[in-house]
Amino acid sequence: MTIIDSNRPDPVDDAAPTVGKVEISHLTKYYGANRVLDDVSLTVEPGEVVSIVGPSGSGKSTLLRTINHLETFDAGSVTVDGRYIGYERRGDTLHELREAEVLKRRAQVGLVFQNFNLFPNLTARENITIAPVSLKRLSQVEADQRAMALLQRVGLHDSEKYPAQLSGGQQQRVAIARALALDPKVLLFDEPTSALDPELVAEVLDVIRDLATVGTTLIIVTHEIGFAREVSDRVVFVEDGRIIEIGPPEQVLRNPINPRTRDFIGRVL
Amino acid sequence: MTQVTIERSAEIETEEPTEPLKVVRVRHWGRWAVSAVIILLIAQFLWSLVANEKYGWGTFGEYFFSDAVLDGLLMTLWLTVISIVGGFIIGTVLAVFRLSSSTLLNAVAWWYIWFFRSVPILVQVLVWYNLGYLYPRLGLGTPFTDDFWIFSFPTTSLLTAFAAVAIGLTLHQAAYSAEIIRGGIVSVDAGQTHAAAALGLPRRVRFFRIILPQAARSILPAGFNEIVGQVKGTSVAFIVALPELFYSVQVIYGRNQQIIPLLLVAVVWYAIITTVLSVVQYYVERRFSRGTVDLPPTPIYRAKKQITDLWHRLGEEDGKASPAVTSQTDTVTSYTDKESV
Amino acid sequence: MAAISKKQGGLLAAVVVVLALIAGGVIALVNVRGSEASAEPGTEDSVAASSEFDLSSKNADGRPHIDPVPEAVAALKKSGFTPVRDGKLTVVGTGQAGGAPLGVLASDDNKTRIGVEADFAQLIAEGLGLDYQQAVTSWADWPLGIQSGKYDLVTSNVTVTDERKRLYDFSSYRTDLLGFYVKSDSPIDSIKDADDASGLKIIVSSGTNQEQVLLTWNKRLEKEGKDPAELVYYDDDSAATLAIQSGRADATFGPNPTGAFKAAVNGETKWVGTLNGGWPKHADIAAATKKGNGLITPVNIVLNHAIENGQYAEILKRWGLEDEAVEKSVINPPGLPESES
Repeated sequence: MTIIDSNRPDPVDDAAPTVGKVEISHLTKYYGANRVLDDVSLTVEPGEVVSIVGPSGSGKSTLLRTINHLETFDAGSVTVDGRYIGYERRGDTLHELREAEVLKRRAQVGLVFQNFNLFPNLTARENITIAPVSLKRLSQVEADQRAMALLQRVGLHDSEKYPAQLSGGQQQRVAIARALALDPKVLLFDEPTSALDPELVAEVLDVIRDLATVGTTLIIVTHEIGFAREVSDRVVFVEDGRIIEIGPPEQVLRNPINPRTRDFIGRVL
Repeated sequence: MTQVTIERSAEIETEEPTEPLKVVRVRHWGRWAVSAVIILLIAQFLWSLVANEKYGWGTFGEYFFSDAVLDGLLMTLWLTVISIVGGFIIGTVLAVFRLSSSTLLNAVAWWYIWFFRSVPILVQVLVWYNLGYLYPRLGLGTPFTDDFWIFSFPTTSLLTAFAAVAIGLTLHQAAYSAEIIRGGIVSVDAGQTHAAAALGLPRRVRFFRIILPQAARSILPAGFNEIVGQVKGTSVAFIVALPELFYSVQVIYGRNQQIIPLLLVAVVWYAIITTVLSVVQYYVERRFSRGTVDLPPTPIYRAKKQITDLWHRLGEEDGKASPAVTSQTDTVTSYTDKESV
Repeated sequence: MAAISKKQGGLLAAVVVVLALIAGGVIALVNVRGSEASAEPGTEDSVAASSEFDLSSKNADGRPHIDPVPEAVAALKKSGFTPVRDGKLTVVGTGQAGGAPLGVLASDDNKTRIGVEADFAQLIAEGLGLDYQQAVTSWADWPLGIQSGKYDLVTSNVTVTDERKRLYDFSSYRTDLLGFYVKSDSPIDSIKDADDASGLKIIVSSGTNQEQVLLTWNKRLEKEGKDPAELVYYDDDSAATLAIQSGRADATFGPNPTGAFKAAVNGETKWVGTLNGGWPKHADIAAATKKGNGLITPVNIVLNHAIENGQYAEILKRWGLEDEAVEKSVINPPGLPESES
């Protein structure tokens, strides 16, 4: 396992963010006999924007989902600001936590899905308010106000539409607003534009680009190489459940050191 | 016109029309004939309802609102409500068990459903009612013995006829409801659960606000089917002589031998309940279809539209008389020169 | 909208015609009602008029009474029998279709069981010095109810059979009289022996004495090279009644009292022959209790006391069943043999 981890740039903002540090160390996961994550280690600093690229089935999405404990793992550890999401450490073993505790801790990490996964029976506004209200973070009135503000931020105005009445790009923007409603320290994107018609990709990327400038830690699994190059502080190339190369976008996406990275970049560009 | 079309049908279709072309729809003479026959048969049947005195409408009228029948109706409705509400509550729990990752809970639910779908409801009610035959005493005592009791009471005094039927129907219904609800839950996209989990929504919120409302769309049609079926299913109460609607009617014709008129009393009441339930079903389903782009129009709206459409079409076929038609032909003829006629 | 097209006019005309037909139908209905006048068959009043029996709850007031029979009371004490409810004798019977004059629910309250079987139930309770506690259930339920100790005794036209004697103790009080009934406009006017039954479709209950009679007749007919009667089995009394009325079967063969009652009440059937229930063997109707519980001897004492003192004859006379009298109540009389099938 080689981790090429030079030249980690300083965060962009002047007032450097202090929360949202993700530490993944020696993470291994099996699906049956198949090893989908193989001793993966990665540290993402507060406010950093990291893109994960790699061929389909390379384990990118699985890696992303272990961060908020939607996927469990077999060995290693994942912490956000030094805390485990789904486990409690006693000595050398990790004990799985009860669901209620996991849910509480998970709320500090937002996740945006490839297929949006908005709740079709709720309006855009209700999609955004359901988490903060049911987790007792905000009253319904406060949550409504916040939902309006968030919708505005992602460029939407009609809060009472149902998901099916929105275009794919609009749905994904609502999904982002929904993830933001809990003020997550870290925001994860799982191929956020893959399910969109080409002409709708830009509007979603614009929103993510905005987020990248305000200091939330972002980890983005994406096929949009150009976009990754533009917004990322660092790019991670994953293949066969392993991190092959990691570094600034200019390096990984333009002048990869590893031949396999070069091979992949050559194919997608 | 391209050359291709000229080659294909040179003689007729290339001729310049000298006047606006008239469109003639296909006439479905067969359909008209069949419809006429059906209407005739329906009319004949309706006539016989009136003319055939064997229907005994006088007797029907005498008993339709009689106390015995209304009490029976109330009993039927009451049993339906209890067994459906109870059945769906227990059924929901069973469905959740079935979908649980716990092997034990899963097995318990599976065997429950297997058992109550296997045992005829009639047998079940009879057994509940005669539980004392199998277990003469119930109470708290040393497990696996039947001679030491802390307290106990005779079983025969425990279950009334009503309780036996209500329990039997509820447990029976629970098994069927469980499968319907499970089917509904399974039909909800797994991404919904992931999204709810990623937001940290508590299990309760996830189930009642996200999964169940979406599952409801496929649960409702089957669920209403069960309710309508259960209204008539309550007639198993006859086995313990509990006077629901059907039994009450039987008791009456046992006295006066007017079988058909009294069966009609029951049938019409069942039809009324079914009608009300169907209307309720329609609007409840609409309510849970919120969020889909196009809600189908209501039947009242559809009927209105069909009549107006028919009206316009009849006018159109006739020719120039209807203004609606002239405006339509305008679009067709606008390419040809009317003045050339 | 301007002028109406020809076809639109046609539609309007059609609508008018249909409305006129419906209106005509309604008017015809009213006229039919009017001409039938008030004597609609099947109302409770007309039942009262067409049969000699009062089927309201007041009928129970006219029951013959009996003082506690000292020998019976003493025998009851000695037997160690404890009734289901203290100081009460719980006697069960059916009250459903086909019951009158054996057991039906009263026309005014739908709760009081009346009929010859209910009269005997009360008579036995009084003779034992107990209060009569009425219980009503279905034919399918009484056996389990008696065995599980929910009811003390059953009086519901139960025929003594060898099979039943293994589970119950019997004390006889009526002999079975069987009657043939046909549709009132049927050309058949007499069924007395096998030759009369040849080639007919006859409704009969399976496992009964009457079935044995017909099977014996059929053997003889087949031996003589004639057409046997075709036996039709209906589990449900109303289905059997409808089958006769709709001409699906030629005759019914069953207990004479209920057959006579049906014929009297609605005039749809007529009597064409009676057969002694003892043909070719003897068949008794008896009160039954759980085997070996000690109740049957006291019951037997009461019945014989009533036979000697006239209350017995009074009850049979009240329901026109004098023909079914027995000379003596017998404990566990010879029963119908187990059916061979």
